[in-house]
Amino acid sequence: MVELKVNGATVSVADDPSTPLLWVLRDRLNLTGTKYGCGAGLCGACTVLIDKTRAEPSCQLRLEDVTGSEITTIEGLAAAVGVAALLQQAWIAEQVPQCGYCQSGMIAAATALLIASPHPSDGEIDDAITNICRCGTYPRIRRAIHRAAGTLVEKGASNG
Amino acid sequence: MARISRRGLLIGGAITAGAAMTGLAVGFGYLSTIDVEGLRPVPPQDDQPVRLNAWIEVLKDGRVRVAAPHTELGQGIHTGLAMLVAEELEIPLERITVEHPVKPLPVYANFVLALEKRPEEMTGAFDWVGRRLIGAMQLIATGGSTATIRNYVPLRQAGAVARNLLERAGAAEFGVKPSEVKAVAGEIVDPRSGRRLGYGALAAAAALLEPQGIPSLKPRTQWAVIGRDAPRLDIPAKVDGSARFAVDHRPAGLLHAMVVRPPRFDGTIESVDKTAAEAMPGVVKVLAMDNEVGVIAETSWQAMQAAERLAIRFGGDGKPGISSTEILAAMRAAVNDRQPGHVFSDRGDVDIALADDASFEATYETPYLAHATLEPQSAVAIADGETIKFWSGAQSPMPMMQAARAVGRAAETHVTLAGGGFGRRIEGAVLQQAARLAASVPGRPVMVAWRREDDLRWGPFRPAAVARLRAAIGPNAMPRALKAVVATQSVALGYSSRNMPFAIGGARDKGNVEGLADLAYDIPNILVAAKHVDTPVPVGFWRSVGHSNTAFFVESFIDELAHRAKRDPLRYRMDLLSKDARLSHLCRTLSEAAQWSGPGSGSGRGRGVAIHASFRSYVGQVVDVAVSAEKAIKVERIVAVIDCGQAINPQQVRAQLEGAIVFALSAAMMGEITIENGAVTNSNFHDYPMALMKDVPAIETVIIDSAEPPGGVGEPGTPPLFPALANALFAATAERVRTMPLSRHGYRFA
Repeated sequence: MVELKVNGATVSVADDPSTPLLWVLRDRLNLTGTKYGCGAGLCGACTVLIDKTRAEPSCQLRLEDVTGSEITTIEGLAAAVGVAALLQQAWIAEQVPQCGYCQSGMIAAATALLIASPHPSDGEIDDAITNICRCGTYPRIRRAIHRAAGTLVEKGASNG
Repeated sequence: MARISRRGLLIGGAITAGAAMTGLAVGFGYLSTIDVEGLRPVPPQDDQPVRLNAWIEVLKDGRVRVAAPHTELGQGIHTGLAMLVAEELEIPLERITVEHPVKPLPVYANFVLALEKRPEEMTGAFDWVGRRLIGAMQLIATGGSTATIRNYVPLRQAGAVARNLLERAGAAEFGVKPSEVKAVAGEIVDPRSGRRLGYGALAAAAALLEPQGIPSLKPRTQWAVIGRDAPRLDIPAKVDGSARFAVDHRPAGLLHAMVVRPPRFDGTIESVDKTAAEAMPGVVKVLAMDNEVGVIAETSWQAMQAAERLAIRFGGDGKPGISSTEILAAMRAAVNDRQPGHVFSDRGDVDIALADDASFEATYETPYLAHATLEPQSAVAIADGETIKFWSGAQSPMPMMQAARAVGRAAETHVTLAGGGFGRRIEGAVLQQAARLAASVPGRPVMVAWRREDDLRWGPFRPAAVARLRAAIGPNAMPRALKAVVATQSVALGYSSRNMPFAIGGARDKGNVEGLADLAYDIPNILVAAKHVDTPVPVGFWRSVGHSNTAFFVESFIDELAHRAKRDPLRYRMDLLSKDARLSHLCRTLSEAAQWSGPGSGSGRGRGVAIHASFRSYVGQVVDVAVSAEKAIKVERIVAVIDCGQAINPQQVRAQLEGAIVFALSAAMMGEITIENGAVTNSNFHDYPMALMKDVPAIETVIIDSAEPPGGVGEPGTPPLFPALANALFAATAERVRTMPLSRHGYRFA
């Protein structure tokens, strides 16, 4: 059995310690908000928050890598980190999601960014948000991050 | 006989053909029983939501459920359709929920996709027959940017008819005349007495009344919902992880399956040794199917691991397989040979004009492209007795019906949210796999979810194309004649050969040249022809389909002509469009919005423009780029103007423009599916990369205020970006790129 701390609770799973966290979250713990997109750490759809500080792709984390860590998924994000709730409100205010499949990972990545840098510049957003959104919501994500961080500057975008 | 369009017929497949013949055989009597309006109430049943018509149900608490027979792919269609109902039903949008109906009633069929006419235009006898035939075929589908066009009038009528029933029920309750009550925010109000009753309390009585025709719809000046920004109903669930896609459907006892296919498109499976795979933990079943092997396990990871242990001998004819290089060479040869091809447009005398005048010619090329929806192909299926129940973000329930039929069962179709569509989810392959695998473990739900590598390699793809364009230049430096020959691979043929019992398309597929054969430019002599190059590569509908190729060809070529004429590229286009009021207005609006002052003078910075009409809408774009000596491109600004007729939810029109532009930007910069030895060499996002946050500038959007009936919105923003970017690059560097993507020429995002 492997013990994991997920969204504030300790759970035991019987999977092999080499199993990627993503599949345990989805198929064993029913935390389906975290998505599979590439299985190779390239797209960020599976991003979760580790130890309330780092955004990491859960498809690249083996269970044995995270046994001592606090794992926060989209389902527990707002309760665990105050800024995540602000981001979720900003995401609604800016009407960010289209298909929505990437957005759990986007919000997890944005949460880690605002923890590290509460008032990020555009350059910091570019560096921190490397997730793929196939619907192309990047301009709205940028605005939503600025809105949540209180750094929203009105400049032309989507307002013609 | 009503004209049935290429895409409509295609999507219907076997069901289409069968039902059409049935309809004709039983004739008028049968057809007249098919309800294509769906405006009658259903007698209420205890404690059930009350169905006031096929579109509108009223719940006990007064909330309203709208049946939307279109897949929410991210385009915001569920909210847009709810807005149409809300406008006439007089209920706040936030009290509406939207669901894709499970029961495929004829009223839900997509008549616009099938008949290429707006419902309000379908007034003749042929239309009467056509609508009922398409209804009988249950041709429910989301595609071709048609959903708003299809529902703009019918859903407002459904709202008005339901409101009228509620008004009459309320008036009876209050003992006044129906004309004396008003519907206000989900209640029927008697203004004189001040009495009011909510829709939840009145619905059962309303459902016992007969509709009295269709009340006249509100004039545009009285609209309170349509044309105003509305927050999307599906967004709250998409920011907290609670939105359910097909891959999130978790019925008790769910099993997970992976499927393995031959790597080559023309490959076969000669033999399978299942032993090692079956011995892996969690494996429930290994099933050899025609040309695929399915592995069913308790978790996704177990299924993936076990699939790796399959020992499969792939067969084939032993010859080297096709390559994309060879295919493009064949297309190049095709545009240069003397065969005329299939002629779509022939006006004036192109050859005489070309012989007379100074002429200019150029050849353009585009690659195969993948959709790469972020949610790969997925479906859940349960074999429950004689029925297969499906859950999938499919763009149509029809492939579910076909997949069930293939295993001798009926289908129950649950269309879920989709993690991106772009045309990819009109295909049946994953549903067929799900049906077969579910049928092998009756009673157990099975999820088939493709790996990224499978999704990228199996296709289908946007076809590659080569186009040779020649223009005769008149005395005023304007084109007097245009001859365009396109060699590509027919999407209609690809789709029909995979999904239908017979194949249609080929050179005659008008998708080969859509956007070119119907060119808006005023050129007196035009000849447009297409040639089909047959290959084993599967091709399919990709956001904006043929337009994604033809806009690049035409709008690059026009830009070249303007440059040779030493004319401003936007003014040059405006001269060619002067007889078209809508496009002229679009150009003027774009010029103002972008503060157009010419393409720039090179030296690493430039602006490009492109205009393109598609899906009954018109889009113009201006792209600004800065290009370094190392060929790093920074896209600094994108301005887009759309005339889509009446916009329903303007902020979502903007969202679709933004998304369509980013979709094209990835493709134009780096999109290229490469085929070697009969198989795709790309495998994941490292070698089929996407534009990221850092690559995408603010996108400024302008919606032209219009009361014209709506045009499409999901697709028209994609085509112009390709040429606008290439034209900007030319302005910045003087390098004319005629072959997509730009990465082929050493360019990359800064």
